[in-house]
Amino acid sequence: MSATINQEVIEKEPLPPGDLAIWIFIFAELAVFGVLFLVYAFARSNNVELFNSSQELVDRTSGAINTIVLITSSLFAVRSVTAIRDGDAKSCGHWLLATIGMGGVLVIIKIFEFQAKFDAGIGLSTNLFFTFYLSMTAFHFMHVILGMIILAAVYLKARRGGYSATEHTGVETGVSYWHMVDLVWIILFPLVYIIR
Amino acid sequence: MTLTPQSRKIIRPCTRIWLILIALTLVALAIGKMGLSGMNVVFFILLMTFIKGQMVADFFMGLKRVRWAWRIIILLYMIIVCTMIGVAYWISL
Repeated sequence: MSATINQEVIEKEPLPPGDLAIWIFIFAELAVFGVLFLVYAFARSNNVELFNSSQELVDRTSGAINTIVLITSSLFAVRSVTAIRDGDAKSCGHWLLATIGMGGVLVIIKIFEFQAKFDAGIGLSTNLFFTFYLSMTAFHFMHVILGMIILAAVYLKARRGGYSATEHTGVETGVSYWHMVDLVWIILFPLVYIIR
Repeated sequence: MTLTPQSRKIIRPCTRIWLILIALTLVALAIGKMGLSGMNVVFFILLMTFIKGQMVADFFMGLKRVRWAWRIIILLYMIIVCTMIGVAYWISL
């Protein structure tokens, strides 16, 4: 009996949550971002003074708030999966809406951040640091938008009763993608805003 | 929301993970605000980043409950990216 219980505890799922295709997509996205991060880091090694002085002009507080917003949105996304696993589709929908709402907060903060840079006369061609900073954060921004669209589609299906305790692959798929967006930002934030 | 014993087990660790992630983010912000630099600082921040990334992968993405073959992909990714960033900063010193 005890051995059976122990076996159940250590038994691992054969596949990650959600559709397998989204995981292939996630790994491909992570690879692309990984290359960008390393290109940034090695480009910086040849332009240390430029990168350090330019980094002084980015809004670290705004970057940290974005991190907190994304981490919180990820927690909400976890709650949506937990809710549907318990068969509570209504609660799942509410948590998905909260996740999308946090994504909206990030979008608004980023728009203000981009606007502040453009108002200060900073653009893609200002220098190498800002080429990377604007490109990488804008690329991530597009992933946030895509993630919100995916979660909105999942929410609409959840509201129509399209998911249950036994069939909720769509929720896990959308949420897995959202976590990837969070994971990428967790590296992007210290790399571009903090480390010098 | 109806909480079954099973869901409580899932939610509670995730909330703790969320608090740790927030705390590590605030530490990183404090380091940035203080303008600290140097290889020790870079190593410390990259270590925090690695821990945060693994927490998201294991507890939020749910890879802790999945076979190692899947989990190790993100683990290797975080190790390679954080190490290579560290190397890039080290050679610039």
